[in-house]
Amino acid sequence: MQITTANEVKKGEWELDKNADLLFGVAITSDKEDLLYYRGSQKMQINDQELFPEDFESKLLMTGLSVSPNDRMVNLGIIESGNGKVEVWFKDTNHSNTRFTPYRVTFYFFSKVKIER
Amino acid sequence: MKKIIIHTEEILKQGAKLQFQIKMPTTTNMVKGILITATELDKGGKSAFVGHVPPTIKMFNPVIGWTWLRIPEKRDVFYAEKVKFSNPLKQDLQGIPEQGFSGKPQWWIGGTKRSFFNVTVPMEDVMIEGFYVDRSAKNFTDYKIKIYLELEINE
Repeated sequence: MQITTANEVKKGEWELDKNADLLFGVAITSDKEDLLYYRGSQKMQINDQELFPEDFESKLLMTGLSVSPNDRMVNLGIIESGNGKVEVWFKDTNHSNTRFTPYRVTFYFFSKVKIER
Repeated sequence: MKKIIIHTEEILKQGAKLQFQIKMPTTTNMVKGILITATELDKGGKSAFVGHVPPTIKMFNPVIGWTWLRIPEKRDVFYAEKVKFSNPLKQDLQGIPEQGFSGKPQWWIGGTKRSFFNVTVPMEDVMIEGFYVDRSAKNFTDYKIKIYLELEINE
């Protein structure tokens, strides 16, 4: 997702892999992490089930190099996703510690196929 | 089912003492996690930090306030925290110089991860009472605290 205007609210919709039955984690990164840290917040939902409400700060979904690679994902529990569609409303808000320049935000959704025995 | 709610309070005066209430959905079963952040309010381009973070915040990230949460009439204070500003460079409690990396500190290199503090607070009512006391010593700047509550609700 490219954020091109200060204070904009941008919506993104993505379909999960059709083979994915369960959504269990999310992560967020940016090419300008200071902007994302100070300015970013988002609402996120899957198939109309809310994961994070509006104004949920992006900094709470960010992880850095100091965190083990196995722990960098934010754990959502186990969410049945089916033919999952994820919607994100990302909001950029002015913050006096940053000067806006266009930046990229990337959302990672971790899912897996439920194995039937 | 899990749900997260956010309660925000603005602190506009040094030494402010606030009392507030957080109302939860009527289907709330339990509070399972708590997370509190503090960030400077945008002043339309004028920051007390003037585009950089003072060394005291970077290195020591002092406590700026105290908060308590309680359930009135049922249970006294069940959670208390000393609140610090979200450290803009490291997202940890104390700035630690990166090892082996040169140049301007970057978040990716030094940043960690915030997570909810796990609690088990059964809810019969839908109200949580909160108190906040500002304890910033000097260089006060308007800021807001956000209290995130992770709830278990009945579907």
